[in-house]
Amino acid sequence: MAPERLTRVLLVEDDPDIRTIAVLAMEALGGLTVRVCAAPDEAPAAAIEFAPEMILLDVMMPGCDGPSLLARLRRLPATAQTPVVFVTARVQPQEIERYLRLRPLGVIPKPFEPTTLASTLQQLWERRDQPTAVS
Amino acid sequence: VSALPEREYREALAALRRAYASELAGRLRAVDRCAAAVCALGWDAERLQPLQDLAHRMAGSAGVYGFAAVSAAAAPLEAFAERALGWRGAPARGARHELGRLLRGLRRACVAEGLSARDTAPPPGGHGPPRPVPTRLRPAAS
Repeated sequence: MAPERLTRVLLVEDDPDIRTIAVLAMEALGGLTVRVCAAPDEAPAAAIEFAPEMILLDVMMPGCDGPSLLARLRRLPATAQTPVVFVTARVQPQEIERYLRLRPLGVIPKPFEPTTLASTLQQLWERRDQPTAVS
Repeated sequence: VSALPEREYREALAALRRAYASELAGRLRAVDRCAAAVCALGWDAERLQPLQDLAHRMAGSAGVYGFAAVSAAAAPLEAFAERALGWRGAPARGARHELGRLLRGLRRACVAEGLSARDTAPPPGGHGPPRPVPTRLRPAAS
């Protein structure tokens, strides 16, 4: 059974600057346990091993975009049901529509405010049985 | 729930922001080098992809680190490089001018965020990417 509060997040993000500040915000301010993948190809194995409650997924990464990675994760029994939140600078209506078809838990536009990142994720987690939210 | 007192978090965040700011001039120079390579060596994927990648990273990370003006100026540069990738080596009319305009905008944004004029000086040879040598000054073809 999923816990009341979000505690474990897998962050898949290729930009080291964003990884650094996002991990600080999620761990230090949000009290979350975070595992990081710098490359999308690492994510499936890391997700199986770490068993995150939520996966925070950058949309634009070299070699594999977030939606393609989400499709891969959905094919794995261990991650088929894990809530995924996209982080993206691409928030044109047609792009948002494309993401929503993949039924993520939410979409967080980039640039995001690091200080509110953990609370945004908690809010998404608390409404995980409801339709996708665009923050 | 927080693992650190908020004051310590704020200090850590401020330290990260200072470190990012200290690297901003270097990032701007890297963008300049990529743009200069595009103009001098060709509008192909080999040259444009690094420009798009750098602009993409700048647009994303600068905003997260609190440098909103830099993020806002890097985003159209990224979009321009992405469009240019579709030109398959043949730049659209006015492309060089547009690239120069976007680079000047990025410079202005860096200055607005506190970088000095020295840190944001265009590369030697002029502001932005090198301009083509006028036809009448080119050596005659042998």
